[in-house]
Amino acid sequence: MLISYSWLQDFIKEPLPAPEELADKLLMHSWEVEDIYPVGNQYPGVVVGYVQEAKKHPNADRLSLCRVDIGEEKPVEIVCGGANVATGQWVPVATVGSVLPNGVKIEAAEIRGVESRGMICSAAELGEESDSGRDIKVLEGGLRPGQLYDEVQETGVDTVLDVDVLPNRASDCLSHRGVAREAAAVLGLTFIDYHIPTNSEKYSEQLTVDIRNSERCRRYIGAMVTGVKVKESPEWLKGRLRAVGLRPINNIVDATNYIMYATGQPLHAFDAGKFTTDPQNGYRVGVRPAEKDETIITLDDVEHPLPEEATVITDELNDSRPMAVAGVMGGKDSGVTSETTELILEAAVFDPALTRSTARRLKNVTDASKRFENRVSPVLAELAMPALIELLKDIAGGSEFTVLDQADEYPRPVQKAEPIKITPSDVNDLLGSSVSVAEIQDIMKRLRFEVSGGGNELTVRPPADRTDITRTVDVIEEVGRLYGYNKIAEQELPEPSQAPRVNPEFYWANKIRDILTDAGWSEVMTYTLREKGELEIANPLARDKAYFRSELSEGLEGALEKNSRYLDLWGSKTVRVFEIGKVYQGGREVLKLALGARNKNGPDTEELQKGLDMLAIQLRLKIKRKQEQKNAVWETDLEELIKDLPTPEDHSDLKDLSENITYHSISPYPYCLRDVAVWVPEKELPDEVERVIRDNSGELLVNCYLTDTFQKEKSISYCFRLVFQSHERTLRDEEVNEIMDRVYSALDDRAGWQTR
Amino acid sequence: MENFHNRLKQDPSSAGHYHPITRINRQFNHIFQQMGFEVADGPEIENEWYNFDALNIPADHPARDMWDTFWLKDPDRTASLLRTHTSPVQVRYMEEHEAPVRIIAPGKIFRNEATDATHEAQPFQIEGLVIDKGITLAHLRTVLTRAMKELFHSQLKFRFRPSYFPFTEPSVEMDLSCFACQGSGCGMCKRTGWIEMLGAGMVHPEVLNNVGLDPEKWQGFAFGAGTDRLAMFKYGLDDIRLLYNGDLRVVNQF
Repeated sequence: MLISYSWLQDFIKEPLPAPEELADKLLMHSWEVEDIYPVGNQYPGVVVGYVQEAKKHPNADRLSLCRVDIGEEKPVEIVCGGANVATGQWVPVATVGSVLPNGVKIEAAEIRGVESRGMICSAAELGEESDSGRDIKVLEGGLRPGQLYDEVQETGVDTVLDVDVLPNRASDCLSHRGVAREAAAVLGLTFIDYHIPTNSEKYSEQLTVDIRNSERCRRYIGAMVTGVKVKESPEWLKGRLRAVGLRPINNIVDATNYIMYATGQPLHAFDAGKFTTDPQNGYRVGVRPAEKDETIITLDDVEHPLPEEATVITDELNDSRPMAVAGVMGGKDSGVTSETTELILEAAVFDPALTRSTARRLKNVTDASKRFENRVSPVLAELAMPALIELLKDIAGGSEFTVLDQADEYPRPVQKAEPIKITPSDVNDLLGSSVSVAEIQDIMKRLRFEVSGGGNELTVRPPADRTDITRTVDVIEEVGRLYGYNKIAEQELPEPSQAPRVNPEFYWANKIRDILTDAGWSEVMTYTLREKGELEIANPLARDKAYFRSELSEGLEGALEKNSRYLDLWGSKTVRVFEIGKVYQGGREVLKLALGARNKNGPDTEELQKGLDMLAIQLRLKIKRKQEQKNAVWETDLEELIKDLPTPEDHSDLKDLSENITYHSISPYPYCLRDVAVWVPEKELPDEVERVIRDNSGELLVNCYLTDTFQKEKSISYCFRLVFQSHERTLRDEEVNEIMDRVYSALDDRAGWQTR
Repeated sequence: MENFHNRLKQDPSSAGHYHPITRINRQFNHIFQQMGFEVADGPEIENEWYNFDALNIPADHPARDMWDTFWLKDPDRTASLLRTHTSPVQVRYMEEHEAPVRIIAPGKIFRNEATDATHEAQPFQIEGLVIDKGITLAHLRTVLTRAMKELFHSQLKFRFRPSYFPFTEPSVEMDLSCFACQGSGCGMCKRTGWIEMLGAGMVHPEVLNNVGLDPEKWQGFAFGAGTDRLAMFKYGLDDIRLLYNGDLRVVNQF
């Protein structure tokens, strides 16, 4: 969730520490802050750029191609239509992802064959003038590339923290109030909460709320206000909404969004004029389950058939007509327009699971539905509604602004949280810490828990909106994380009551790996999700990954074919691979072992048979291979294979594989082969020839191996194959030839050596 | 580069190579066996009870969003999904064995998410579980710190910070000081000096209840580490997709 630093400060008495320090503290005690960045209030995403070069666009007369320094690692290329753009100018640049005041979203785009990353703005595009012709806005010098345009214009700058609230705190911390309360607890600062007015006003009975099913809606606070003027929101409000990634729409919608982001309570404003009313009943808002085949047109102009789990907000006096999908989205017909003067405001609590599945069925997970599904507490509504009315009075009210009525239907009121008893030993017995009762008391108070009791046992009660705290272990976690897990000392595990038993399947799978690698077989792990099989995935990533494999052979054959292309690279004659893995076959999951071999000419059944014979001897088992088995891949049920083998006492005869190995990335470029044969006196070893070759081949030589030996009288001919490959490019013949010339002369330089 | 040449120089017909995941699993087993852990396993094709409900993740709960799940087309009571973590093995093992328990469970898991250099739809994970009397977060710290020190053979720094998993409480995340910059901040650790390594926590009382263990009597800790991630850091692998394409140019280096 995006949190505005200045907005957060509103809820805390003392000045907050710098954003980075705040983020560090939250990381160690609450949750991660994934990103911190400055944002302008009025022109978010617009920064100062320096035009390093402006030249004519290669494919368009009236466009320029500009290289602009916007304070990033590298300058960006921007295509600009401004008639006056020129090298050396300081200009406002709307960066990719920003939204201009006219609603235009800047995206990376290809303009006439040239990629443009951003937009150099005119005064009109910034909303500063109504028309600025074809000229871009040119700024005075003395600026810094990447500086926020708002800083230059002195229109206000804020810092945004992208806070990764953990799922268990989504109930109370998807709001500035919640994050501020948490930050205050962590930092030991004073949290300033909303003041809930005690309502003594008498209203005329104009609004009735009718909740048909209290399981679906445990609270509904409705309010009717009149004398509202719909217009643009003030700049400060728009600035805060933009900072947290919301687009300002009008003062009414903006106010509901603002108070939702402040309190965590989703809010909705209906145009009361779209509801039916009569003198006797006033307005009647209903909350009921959607009926079969019912549909609604939502604010985004789409007609949705309502899923059966949906709850709807209705105009009861108009045949219970649906006006909104509860907790998800408002209906188009009851939306606020520029004509609206009277509002019905809603601060309600809908069922978490039903709201969640409704939103998902409608493919419309909204800010509101996300909060409901995380179990917002019904106490937030009574704090959010007065705040909303207060704000509307400020930014949408005139002299006629009046609250006509308020209704608070609360069929399932929150019971005061059960008190939880906690002692230092409860905490220390689970954490292995040595936290004192005074420390627990201090932490509880910082978290605004009610604390009573004395001596060694405390009774604590969480704030009403901390719906995540229901039992002792929840409180222990609160103490632990605020205390700090790194302060807990280390402690060795007690001696186990018995020596660990050997898992036969793990042991034998690993023993077989040792046997096979010893004999030159290499292990692969190929893909489980494949194009065909017996077990189908309902929601696959791709059509060719829609089944759980029913055999290892298919993957192994792919690996063999692929690797047989590299035989020359390694200087080997056969690729021999094996895999141990799960398949789904004959209606059950089976652990299998498969071996396969392939040489230049195709499947290598001879090598496979040799491998199986060797395995059989090592395991003291009989292993059969069907002669007709295709493609030289053999596959068997591993559990079946090892079922009569004895289980050893321990794993001590498995090889130690703890060696530190550094992987070197493989080259995506082709390799290139050269052969060289040299006559040497018969006493020379091939190693010496290889050494001379390696010493003279440079870094591009990746392998060199003996391919042939031939003796004649007192001389011997060694033929070596050299493999060249680059990590950066495809090698040219000429450069490899040059290396080979050096190799030839080095070999010929040796007394008695003669290349062929 | 020296190492690379030497590896290629070896005639591959004389010695085969282990898959990097096997190397990590083998070493993990070695480290944990010394601390009295046994190896447990469970099916890759699971049902909702073991993968979610028994682990305190009820249906229609937002916590389910933490795992992108592959669902089966024809589900039944025994099989409805591909396991999204190795944690179901905890439940299965505790159902079948008496406490105390000390296990690790290496295995393949499935995540329905787009793959890239650091995300794989079918990576491996290693689960760990200790249930006994008087087991605390202090034991968790000691066991995991020792395991990481031994696995990486290096002088790393560690830290534990809050996290959330429905099946543990308290839940923690374990960070290791960055391998590349030793904590001063670089591109690999996103300038933080720390690498997120694994999730862990004290087994939630609800999980113990679900397997018929009395939380008043037994407690313990669990952890889950991404094997691929451990391999990436131990060996400097730059793309985990390389682990599952059967390419011996990769495997031959191990």
